[in-house]
Amino acid sequence: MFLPLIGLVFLTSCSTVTNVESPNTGIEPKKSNCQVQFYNGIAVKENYIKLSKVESHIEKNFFFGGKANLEDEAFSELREKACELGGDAVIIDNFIESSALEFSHIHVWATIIKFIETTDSSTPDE
Amino acid sequence: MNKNKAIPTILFLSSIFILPGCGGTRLSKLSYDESYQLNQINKAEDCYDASIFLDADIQIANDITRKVLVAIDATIQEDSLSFIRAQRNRHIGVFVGSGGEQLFITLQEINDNSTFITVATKTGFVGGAGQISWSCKVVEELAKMTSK
Repeated sequence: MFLPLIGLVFLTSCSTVTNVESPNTGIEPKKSNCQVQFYNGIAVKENYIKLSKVESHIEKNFFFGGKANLEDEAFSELREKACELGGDAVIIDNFIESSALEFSHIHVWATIIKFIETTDSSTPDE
Repeated sequence: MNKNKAIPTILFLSSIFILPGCGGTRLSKLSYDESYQLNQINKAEDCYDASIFLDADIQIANDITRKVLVAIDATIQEDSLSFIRAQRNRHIGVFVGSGGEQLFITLQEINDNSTFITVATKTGFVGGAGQISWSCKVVEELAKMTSK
């Protein structure tokens, strides 16, 4: 009797919704789980171009996987998107963590960037 | 069922529904005061009511408020420049579930660069046990996002 209910709880225990503003950057994708640098509150010193804005909402149930947090679930999701777009790094523009009872949420706004080599000493694209 | 056992059982079951009850408010009791500093937050003790004097024009304040609401897992149900109504999405939980709280936000243009925002949380009767107040969280996140 309770099996369908348990199954439903389990199915709805974790979800991720991600919107990529510009999915076609024209840049060759990288292998999934490629190396990506994260900038959270740190200025990027290298020159770069912006590839796309990304917005992601991650929800987790404490009983089925613990608490959603930026460095684990959000970084993992953003890394995947950055690799798909051929990006080198992700700038965390903003994020909000919230939790209610057994559910925790993280919503993150980020920018995927690609480093560029320039001969002049122009300032980064910010 | 034995009458001696039935009465406590009925009382217990009733308390499950009655104790959570309805909470919070649809209308904020907070109003703008000229002494407020930019990004000053005011909170009711229970956090069902809160306000912020935001350092942003009303259009930007509205945009930021909608972003914060979506981020805390709410769906916007009514939206105008000076009023937003949203409801947190419901989730089936292992014990009581979560979500369903209603949020009532008013935005009052004070001048070209500042907006007074009130956030009221209303929890419902059904499922009230799994609902919490969100007003303080919303105004705190508004302050953070505006200062970035």
